[in-house]
Amino acid sequence: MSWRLLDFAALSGAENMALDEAVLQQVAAADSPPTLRLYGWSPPCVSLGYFQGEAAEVLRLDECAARGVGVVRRPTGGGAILHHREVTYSLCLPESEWAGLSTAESYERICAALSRGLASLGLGLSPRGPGGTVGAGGEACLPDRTTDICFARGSRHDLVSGGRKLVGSAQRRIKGGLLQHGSVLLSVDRELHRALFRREAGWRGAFCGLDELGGREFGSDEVAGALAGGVREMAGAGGAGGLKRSGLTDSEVEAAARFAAERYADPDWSILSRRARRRSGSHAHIRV
Amino acid sequence: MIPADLLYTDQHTWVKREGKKIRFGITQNAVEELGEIVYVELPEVGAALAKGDSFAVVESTKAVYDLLAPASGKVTAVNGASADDPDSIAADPFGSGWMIEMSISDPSELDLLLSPADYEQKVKEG
Repeated sequence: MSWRLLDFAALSGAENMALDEAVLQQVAAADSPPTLRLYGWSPPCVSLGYFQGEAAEVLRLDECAARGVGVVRRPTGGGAILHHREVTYSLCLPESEWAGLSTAESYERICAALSRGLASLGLGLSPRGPGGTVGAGGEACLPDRTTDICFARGSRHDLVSGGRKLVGSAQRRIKGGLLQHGSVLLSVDRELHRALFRREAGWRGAFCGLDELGGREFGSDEVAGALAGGVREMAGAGGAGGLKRSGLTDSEVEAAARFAAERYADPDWSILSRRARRRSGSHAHIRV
Repeated sequence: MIPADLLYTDQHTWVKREGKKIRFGITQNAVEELGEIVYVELPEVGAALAKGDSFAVVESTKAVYDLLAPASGKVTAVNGASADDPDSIAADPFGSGWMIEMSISDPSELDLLLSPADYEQKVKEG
């Protein structure tokens, strides 16, 4: 079976998260092929992890509003990410594509494909690995609960250079399917980070953009193309049908509109914590 | 260790039958695959679940997982202690780390669960 490539498009936070969930559900139900979607964010947006606390504890929401930065909660876990100058990848695979692989092995396989793709641009990135450190000084990774910011946290599956994180990834596993999505930083707007995040401690030097690594600016299209190239190899492995450009199905478009309305565009969903959502009677969790 | 008095799903959930109710949670094997569990979200008491529905959302240091109901029915109790202290699940997954108690609507669904021997074989096969 061929895998599907959905071309790069920049959408709002709610649209992006709703589409990721819609495609995951269709892929998990075998109604859509394994799918790579590459996207940007317009307007810029901060995404919060599924279980992360209230947005107001993490962000200066007045600054977000004043600067036109959206806020959305992801279906995946982990810390907050400012999606601004980046290419986001989203890979949805049915269980048949990862049966027998542990979660760690599935990350390794997908991140290896991303790394191969970025190598075609002359960018050398490798997994942080177990016991990895942060930054050129080799400091220990911050435990997840001591920083709100995903890119200041250290996971073995991060793609790093010199300990600095340039690609951060997260997985959601539902019945029959897996979503792995992640951010590939083109460049980092540190002033905007400082303005939006309440606690900046811990993020200095922990991450950077491809521009700092490669010594030039990288465009969304070339990075999206490189990532697709890496995943194309993975999709073609073992005689499979490769990666073919196609569009969303009507079912996916309809489901995404529904998920956006029910969850991602609902301020309760994105702004409130899990406990507060429960108190307010919002959806307990994604039903699959 | 796979307790001999329980039934299992291929999704690494254990099930204990107690008359018309079942109590269930995740197995030691699931605990090892998930890694450190940092958050757990359980349904409300009274929630109706169909077999294969997501009964909990768990975030570990690796991923967010939906855990799937082993049978259909109505939730009669949830283990709030395991949701408040996810470490307790890893510490005693078959005991104090139980997650849900449910009245079952179709007892024949339990006939499809795995015996301890069959589950042990599945774990060995990976």
